[in-house]
Amino acid sequence: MSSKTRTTDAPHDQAATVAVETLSVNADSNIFAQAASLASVGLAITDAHDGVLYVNEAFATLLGIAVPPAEGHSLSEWFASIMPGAYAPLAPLLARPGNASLNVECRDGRMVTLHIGARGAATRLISATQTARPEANGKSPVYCDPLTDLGNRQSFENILSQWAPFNSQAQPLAVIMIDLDRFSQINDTLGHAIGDALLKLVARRLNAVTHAEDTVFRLGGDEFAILHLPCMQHGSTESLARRIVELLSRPFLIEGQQVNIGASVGISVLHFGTQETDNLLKHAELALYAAKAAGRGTFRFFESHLEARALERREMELNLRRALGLKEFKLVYQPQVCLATRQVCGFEALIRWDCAQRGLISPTEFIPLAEEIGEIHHIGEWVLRTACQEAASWDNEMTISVNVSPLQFESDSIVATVWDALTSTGLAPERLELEITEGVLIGNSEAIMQRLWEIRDMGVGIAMDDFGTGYSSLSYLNSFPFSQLKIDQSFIRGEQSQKSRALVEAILTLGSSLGMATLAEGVETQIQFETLARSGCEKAQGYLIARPMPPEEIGAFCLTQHSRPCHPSLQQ
Amino acid sequence: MSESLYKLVYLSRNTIGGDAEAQRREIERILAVSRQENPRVDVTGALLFSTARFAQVLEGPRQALETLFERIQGDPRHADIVVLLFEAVARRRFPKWSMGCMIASPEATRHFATLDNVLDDETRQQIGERLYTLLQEHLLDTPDTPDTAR
Repeated sequence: MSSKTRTTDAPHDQAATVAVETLSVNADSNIFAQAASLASVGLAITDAHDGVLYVNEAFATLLGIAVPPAEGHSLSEWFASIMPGAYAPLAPLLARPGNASLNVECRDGRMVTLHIGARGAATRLISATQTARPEANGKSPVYCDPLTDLGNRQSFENILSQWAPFNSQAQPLAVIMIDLDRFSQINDTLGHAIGDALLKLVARRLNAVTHAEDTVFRLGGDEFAILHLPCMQHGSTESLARRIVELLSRPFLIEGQQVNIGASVGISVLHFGTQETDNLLKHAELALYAAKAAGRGTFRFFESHLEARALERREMELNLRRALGLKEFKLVYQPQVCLATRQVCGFEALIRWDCAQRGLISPTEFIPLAEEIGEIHHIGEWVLRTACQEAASWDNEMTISVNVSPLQFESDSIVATVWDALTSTGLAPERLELEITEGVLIGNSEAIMQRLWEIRDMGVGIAMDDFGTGYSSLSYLNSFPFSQLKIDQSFIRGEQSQKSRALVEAILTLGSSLGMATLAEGVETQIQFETLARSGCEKAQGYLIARPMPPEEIGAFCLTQHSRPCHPSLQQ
Repeated sequence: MSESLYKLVYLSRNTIGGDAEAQRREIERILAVSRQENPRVDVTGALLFSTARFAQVLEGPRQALETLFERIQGDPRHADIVVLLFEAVARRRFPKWSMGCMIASPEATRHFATLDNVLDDETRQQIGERLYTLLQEHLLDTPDTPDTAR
């Protein structure tokens, strides 16, 4: 399998062949054709009637144009369509048979000199070279990514902004955006040298998979883009995208190591949902997000609803950043009862967001966003302080449980935040319990363990929330002395199956042998309540006892609980 | 051998298609190219092929193997490539073959596994070693090139 069917320099070879055949000169022309195809000087050869016989790659590239003039088409018309400004002075020069040269300005501000050779019997040579003109800052703009030799973001944007179809038909143009999955892990674990070598190989594979009229760019980091001219004879854009995903998921061998990555691909196509070339990149990016959201290692085309969703998200992001300042958050409290005494022993604080623009928004909707944009730290701090303040106002020893995001544990400030909440409100540390999910422990980082221990050493309890879902790895239980296991409501609610009952029993046994208290969430019926009590579960929380309530109702609720040892509904 | 010697064993899915004759012709072509190219870069090895799978063992300087592997990756005649082994070795086990070949029935290759990248490292290694040994035993007496002082 070591033969190679297609090489990255195939376009050169093809172009060279065209030139050789067309010029039909002796074998030496092979050498010239090859040299011409690789030259950094732009070269175009026309016939006596302005029809293009040959162009090398540098010709269009120097002029900053994605699409070279097509063989057989008029060179003047190509100029007219891509550089209307240059066409007016150029047309008369092309019409005359003699030598001439002309400086033209590309849209990106570079000056290119066109040397128009004298018209021969059958051919004419037109060459293009960059005119030396220092930029204002003394540096010329860089259009090439030195690592991969691909065009960079700047050149991508230049070419896209100057793109114009050279025939009257609406020539489709697609932007294929590629983002490598797991690249940062490779960089972190195997080092930058391997990361760089990987990027080079990715560039090579992308060059190999695309056709001569497509151009590959490295936009930055592990982000690549292809300007692709969909064309019937090469199959659809979709099959190219599929092939890119497939090819990049194949293993790489670098410096004696096997490296496995993957790629997500987003595609936008001009005249298919995207009307302006200016929007192609943005739309391809939105499609890329959709591909990532679909689980990575796949491709998505841009669809208008993606834009609507992105707008909605941006709006929600703005609202979320303002919500604390506008005091749009509030906490509600759901009681927890002790199954043995049937007394309320504590409350879990739950956040609610009443957005002025959008009304009530569920935490399952805004917490992930808050985590993504980093707002979770401010919100988390507010929740802790508010909940501690509320609990400190109760005149008994009831506990308060507060949910903490795994993200909050990624920063040292969580320790200080907890400390401040306790000292500023005067709440006894023993009355506070932080509920964390196993997401906090997944990284298994020492720094996180350190923070958990510091908080525990203050006297604060740490409960494992949603236990039984996710990985529920027993090694997590072994890694830290949790004060409480909260059994996920999915095992308790509704008609309990044989299996979930068995699981609940197992978790209860586990908790008691590890010396961790157990609390069942989502208790809805008296039967569930009694079963849990018999099985040795210590606490329960759920609609049977009460729904989450605003702080002003807590006092009255506790009074009714005091007057009757059981909640009324427990006796029904 | 001054540069470090490596071995590479990979498994892939045969996508050549066509009847047995077409398959055979394509394999011959692959072998011909390998036998021409591999000696130049000091690579030796063997190919096991069935209508369903390819398994290839390659030995040579690390850099040469990495370059060759990139070329192999771009070959449309196979897909779902899984690298089973890529590691330094003390000596070659296929010194006489620029590219030995063994034809197997699809049944025989089936137990070389689910071609999934989800295979765990240990299983990969085991399959890789098994293939390595299988090819070596099979090719024992049939060098594809005259015994040169390699």
